[in-house]
Amino acid sequence: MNEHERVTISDRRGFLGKLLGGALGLGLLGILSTVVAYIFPPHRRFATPVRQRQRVALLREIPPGKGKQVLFGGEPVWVLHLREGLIALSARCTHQGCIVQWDEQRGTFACPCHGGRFDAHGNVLAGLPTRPLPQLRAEVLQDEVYLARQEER
Amino acid sequence: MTPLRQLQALIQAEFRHPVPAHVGRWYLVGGWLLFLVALQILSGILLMIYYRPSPDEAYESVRYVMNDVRLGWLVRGMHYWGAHLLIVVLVLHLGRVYFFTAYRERELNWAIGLLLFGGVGAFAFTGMLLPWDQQAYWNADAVRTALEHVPVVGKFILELLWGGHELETGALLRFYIFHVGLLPWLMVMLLAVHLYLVNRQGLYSPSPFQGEGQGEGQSPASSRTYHDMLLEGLFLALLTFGGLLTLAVLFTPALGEPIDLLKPNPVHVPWYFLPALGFFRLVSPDFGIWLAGLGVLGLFLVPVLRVRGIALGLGALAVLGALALAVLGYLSQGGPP
Repeated sequence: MNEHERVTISDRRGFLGKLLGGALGLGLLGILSTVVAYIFPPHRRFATPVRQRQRVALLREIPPGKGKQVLFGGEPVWVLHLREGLIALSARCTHQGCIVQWDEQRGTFACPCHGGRFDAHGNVLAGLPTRPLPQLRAEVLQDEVYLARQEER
Repeated sequence: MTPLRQLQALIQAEFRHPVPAHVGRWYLVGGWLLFLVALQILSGILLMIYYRPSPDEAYESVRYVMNDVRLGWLVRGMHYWGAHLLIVVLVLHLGRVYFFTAYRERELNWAIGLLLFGGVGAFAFTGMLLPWDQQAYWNADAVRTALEHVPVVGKFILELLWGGHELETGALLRFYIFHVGLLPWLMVMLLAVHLYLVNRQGLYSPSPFQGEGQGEGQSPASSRTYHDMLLEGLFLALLTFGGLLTLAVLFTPALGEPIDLLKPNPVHVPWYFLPALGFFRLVSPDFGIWLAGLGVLGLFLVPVLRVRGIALGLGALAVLGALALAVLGYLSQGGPP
């Protein structure tokens, strides 16, 4: 092997080494740029979704004729167990937003703030409110009560 | 020589040691696992940036990562496929140690390895629940039912993991804390002891085809050095990374349907839990728990009992049995998802 051939081999090794190093470096750069792109939050910010259906109570907690106040999506809701089945109504008075109370004896809702009254289906009976209480869909599954939103009446 | 050069020389000298002749390419599997663990930790940390561990937000936050976050689908894909590959490689590693009877005179490290194996199972289970989709909910529910049958500790574990008997906010938060907080620390600590013991006790284990008593020291040196082994390992890591990238791009893991309790239970468990599903379809949970417990105890005691021939036979039976149970489990859930 003469001097020229030896130089060529070492050149070739050096070149291949650089090529390999360059390829690995490019790969690492790709990984790094992916991570950087990922870390910076995207244009559309995350928004907490409204849960469509939520379990709010056990059926045995609401015996026939009784009512129970529950929370659905953070809002107070009355679930009544009437003869025709379960009925769920928003507990917010449609007048000023006070929480209405269920009057078991009379079978009506009474607003403590301005004396508004609603029947067991949320219809206005007396007082300042003009709109009925919004109704929600109540479903029973294996002794558990689920609430879901439904179009306002 | 500068201190840096000295260190470099020291490492180079260390790596120039020849590898014992019996140390074949199978021994790379442990290192391969280590690489996959590192990859899971890194991709997991990235996923933590956007994940929200509450039942109201978990599903949407995963969808957000998949649809809105730049290359979020790729990061989740790497984590997802990395987990699958990790389990495959872990089974290979365990099988290698078991069938080469490499656990001999390494009783403690064998036990630690088994604990790590269980830990990876716990990782897989808690991780599967985090997207909080239909499948997550019903699989968690199935395990809850199984745990209720575990005598003495079942109720305790249920309280600890589920935070009660309901799958609500508390349960998801607990699964999350186990997956990203508790388990990684436990595993890293166990892994450190595992590696320390491997290093201290040396690579031992002639293949079962060689005679007894051919431990290190007697084993002739091969022409391969540790430097060669490291290069092979790096090459394997590169291939693995490329493979996972390809899987993540071509088979991006889909997100299941959001939880809807009024829809029927989809019962689709991941492939690695199929043997367990088949097992509990075959035997009643009350009896099965005891049987499984006995099997696990047997595994821990294998190196102490010194019943090499029987252990090898039983091991082969167990592998065949697991395969048969997986098929049974697969058929019992009604075909592919």
